[in-house]
Amino acid sequence: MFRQILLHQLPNILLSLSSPRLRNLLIELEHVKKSYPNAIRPAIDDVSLIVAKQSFVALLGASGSGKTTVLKTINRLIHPDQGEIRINGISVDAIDASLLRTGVGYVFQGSGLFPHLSVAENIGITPRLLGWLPTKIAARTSELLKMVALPLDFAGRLPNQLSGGQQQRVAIARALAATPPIVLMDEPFGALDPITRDALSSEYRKLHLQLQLTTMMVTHDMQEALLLADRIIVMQSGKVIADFLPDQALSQTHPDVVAMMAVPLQQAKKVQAILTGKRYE
Amino acid sequence: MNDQILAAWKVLPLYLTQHILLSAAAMLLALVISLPLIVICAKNPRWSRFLLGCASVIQTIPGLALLALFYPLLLGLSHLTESLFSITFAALGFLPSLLALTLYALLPILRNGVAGILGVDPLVTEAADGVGMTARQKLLLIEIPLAAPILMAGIRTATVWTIGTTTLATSVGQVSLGNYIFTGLQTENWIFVLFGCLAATVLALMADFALNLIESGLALRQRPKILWGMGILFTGVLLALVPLLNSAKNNYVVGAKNFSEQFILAQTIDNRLSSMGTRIEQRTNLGSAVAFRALANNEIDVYVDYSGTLWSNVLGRTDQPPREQLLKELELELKKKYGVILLGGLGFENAYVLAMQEAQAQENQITSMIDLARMAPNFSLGSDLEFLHRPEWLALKSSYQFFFKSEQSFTPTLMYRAIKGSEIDVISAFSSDGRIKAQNLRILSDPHGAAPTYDAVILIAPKRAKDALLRQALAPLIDAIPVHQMQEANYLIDRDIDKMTIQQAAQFLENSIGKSVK
Repeated sequence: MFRQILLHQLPNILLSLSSPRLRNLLIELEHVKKSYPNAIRPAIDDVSLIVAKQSFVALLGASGSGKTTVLKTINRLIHPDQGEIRINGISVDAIDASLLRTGVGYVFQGSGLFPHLSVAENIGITPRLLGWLPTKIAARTSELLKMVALPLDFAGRLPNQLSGGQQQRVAIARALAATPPIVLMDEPFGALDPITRDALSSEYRKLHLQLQLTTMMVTHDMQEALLLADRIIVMQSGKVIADFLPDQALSQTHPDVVAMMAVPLQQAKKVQAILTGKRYE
Repeated sequence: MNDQILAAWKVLPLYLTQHILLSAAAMLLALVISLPLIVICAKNPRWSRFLLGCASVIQTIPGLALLALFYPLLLGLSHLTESLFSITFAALGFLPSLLALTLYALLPILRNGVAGILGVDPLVTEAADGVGMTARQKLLLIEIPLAAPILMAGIRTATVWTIGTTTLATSVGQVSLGNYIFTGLQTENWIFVLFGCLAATVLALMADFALNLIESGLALRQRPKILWGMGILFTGVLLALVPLLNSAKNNYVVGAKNFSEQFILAQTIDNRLSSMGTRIEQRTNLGSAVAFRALANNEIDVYVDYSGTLWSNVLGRTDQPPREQLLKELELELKKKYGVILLGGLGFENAYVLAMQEAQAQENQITSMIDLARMAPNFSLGSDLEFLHRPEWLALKSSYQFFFKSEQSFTPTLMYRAIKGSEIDVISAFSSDGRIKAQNLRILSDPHGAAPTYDAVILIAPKRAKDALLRQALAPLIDAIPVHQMQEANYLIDRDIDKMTIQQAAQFLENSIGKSVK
């Protein structure tokens, strides 16, 4: 009984424990380092970050830059070799790992839906683990299906009966099911076609605002980061090389960041030129 | 021909139900054991290597050997628990079969289960962690359900194997469809062999069909399919249980070793006891060493053995007193050491003798083993599978200084064929074997008296020592069967053409007893 009360209250506890001095602070990483066995260099090397409450942060970088590793240390899917991660001032190591994860929504790269469970069962899994009543879970599942714009009759389907975009919607609904204050997303829109991608990502942005979430999203697409995030953190070889607001993107000096920015700008110009009939090489 | 099929049909309900119960119990036990082991293996590679290694080693032990090993093991254990807690259990029949079959079923279940769990997409297991599952919840909600189809394939393999291997349980006194096969092979009754094989195959196919339903039901999440499959399995086991619950307990258990004469004599004893209104269970095809121990342990009530076998194998004696003295001493010793009652002789001997074709014997002027020893380097000897390792042969060999051109072992049937085709010249025969007369073989005399005597004697279990009904039923058989009648009865079975059923041969024997009594 106590455990259930605790589980229900956990997200609120996480939110309310912030000290007055750090009122707007939610997630802190302090000198976090992680090396995988047999790797030449650490996956993340002395990363320190502070992520404000209700912000939308994009973790940007090439493959192998360590962005996903950073994301996974926050809900303890990966345990760092050194350093500390705190949520509202509490070390994540002090919280039982599975308990912590019920309070942090996670959207996996490639959906990560359970193939043997129906859409409704997938969405309702975390509430079920938290011991919600079946009627409450059912109500919440319908609510979430509506929220991610899926028809209610999808509830009984299996994941392999859905398109990629629909699966990703279910994955987002599953991450939001137990009303977590934090959502971590690992390239959530990476595998989708451009139209679906645009629609789903802007819908998520709305949910982020509406539900007052704190979102950290891993992506390798600068344009996506610019369109969605309030803050962009660029990683390379396990280190943070830039950390800026979207409107400061053009004033970045790091050559790699400049190169990253150059691609969408040039593409936009080319498209513009083609559309106006002034093709230039 | 028709009689053989009828005889086979008549015992089908008993054999089939026993077969189903044993297979089902073994599979159930194997599942109960292997499911936790799968979890241990999947989470711990070192244990996985060890446990799967053990299961693989067990799999390489021949089925007959594994079954045979469990009998003395359980017997020893039973004696131990008796002296410690005065608890005994049956070391013959169901229990050793169950344990051996269970061990056999472990490997496919274990291996597929582990492969199933390790084969779950790492992204899915990470997602299970990510949504907040504990290790236990992950196992129950994600890993086991996703491993289920592969595990089910392993269970199917194990079930088909188990149903097939259960036929071997006959050799440790457990009735199964193997009784058809063992009896059929011993008496060259191919109808019986085929009947047993077919019945086991049909059973295996039906079980596989039911499991296939469950498997595809699990994969497609169709509950009716799962229920149908379960329903078929449960109904099968329940139907097999019905006769067990319904029937009164059998009054007597009649044992028999694994050759025609033993089958006929067991059936004769069965008929005598049945005619007095008792219920009989037969445990045939027992190994030579198993039979006596089973009797001494009260697991069978009565069977026929041979004085020489008991003298050397059971009492471990190497001396050779004259026949009368041997019988008297045997009776006393068996009673003293094991509490086993030697009721009396049947009137004939089934000794190991050396025999050769009449024509060849005449041509070489051989009538005794002394003559044979002279010519032995020109002859090849054929024997049954045991003879060359038995003390009788060592005694004969040292007494007559035999030195044959070659020595080969055969199954009895093939041995008689080989001498018929002159592939071998001399065979180790049983003196009551019908084929001696039928194939016109000459039994060579034993002037040194080197071979022990082998009078057929009825033995009674210690707990039946004072059983008046049993004694009364068996009394007419004492000294009532002359060797030529036993030979004739044996030959009704041990031939290719006009082969009779065991019941018919037993009937023949009883009729001839009736005549000789009159």
